[in-house]
Amino acid sequence: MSIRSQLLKGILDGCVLAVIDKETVYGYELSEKLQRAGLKDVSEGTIYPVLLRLQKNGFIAGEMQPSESGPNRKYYSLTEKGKDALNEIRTEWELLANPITTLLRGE
Amino acid sequence: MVKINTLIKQNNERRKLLNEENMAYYENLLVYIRTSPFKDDQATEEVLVEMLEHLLSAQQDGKTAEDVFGKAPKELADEIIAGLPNEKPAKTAAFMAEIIAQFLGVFIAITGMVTIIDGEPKTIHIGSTLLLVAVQTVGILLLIAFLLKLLKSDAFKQNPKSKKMIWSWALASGLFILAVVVFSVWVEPFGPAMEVSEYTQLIVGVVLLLTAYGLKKWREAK
Repeated sequence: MSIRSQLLKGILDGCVLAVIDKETVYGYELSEKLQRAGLKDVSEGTIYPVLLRLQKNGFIAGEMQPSESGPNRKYYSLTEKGKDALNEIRTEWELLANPITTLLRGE
Repeated sequence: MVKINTLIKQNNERRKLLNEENMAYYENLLVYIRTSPFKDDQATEEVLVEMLEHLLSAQQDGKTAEDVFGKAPKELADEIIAGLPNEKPAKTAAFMAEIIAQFLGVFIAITGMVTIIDGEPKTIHIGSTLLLVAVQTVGILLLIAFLLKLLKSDAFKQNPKSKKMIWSWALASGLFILAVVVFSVWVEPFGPAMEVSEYTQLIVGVVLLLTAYGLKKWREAK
């Protein structure tokens, strides 16, 4: 595993939560949004284990619904518990990101 | 909530739209994930439909299954299985009871018909009959566990050994039938004897089959 994907692994849950927080999405949309945000390293398939885990933890709720274009898709939205978790991740990330950036830049 | 049967139907229909390469990749994932026992059926079929729809969208954009799901499908599938919620114990129990009732029902109904053709009441020894039922019950569960394992082991192989698989399956089924025959022929009848009328066996068989049907309906409604 590359360093980048190892680093990403710990924070991917938070990124997924942040996307779903903005609007209800289905799997393909989610991976497109992650890619467009610049996370090209996220192999599209890896979002599915993440989505299952987040559902198990009760952070997101998924519902199968007929889509406009026909097939049933599973749409995900954030639960209250998920919102709390996302806020916590945001705070934790802020606490780490600044000192680490400073350190690694060698300033 | 979209029902399981609808999801399976959607999967069967939409899967036909995959190109050959993507179909092969996806069907391996499907077999491997579906043959994992004791996982919640609804959640399993939902994630399978999600991944199929994802692949179909990606295919339209010119991507391959390997681009989407990576070069290690087995690892991904294992992660998916780990993430799936477990089936409720009551449902697992109902499923096992259903399989056993169905199998015993067929067996008892058929022997019941033979008794009717014979036209004579039959003497049953409770001890040996219960032993036979136990052997059959254990046998059928082992057989199903073996089949799931076979199917799972063949997914993701470069050259699926379908022939070897069919032979292993035939061999296992043969052993099972042999065991049943050996038990019913060579085991000396023991335990209290009971005379049953010509129709009792058939009725018991039919009741078991109806029970199996009822359990199936109950599971599907859950």
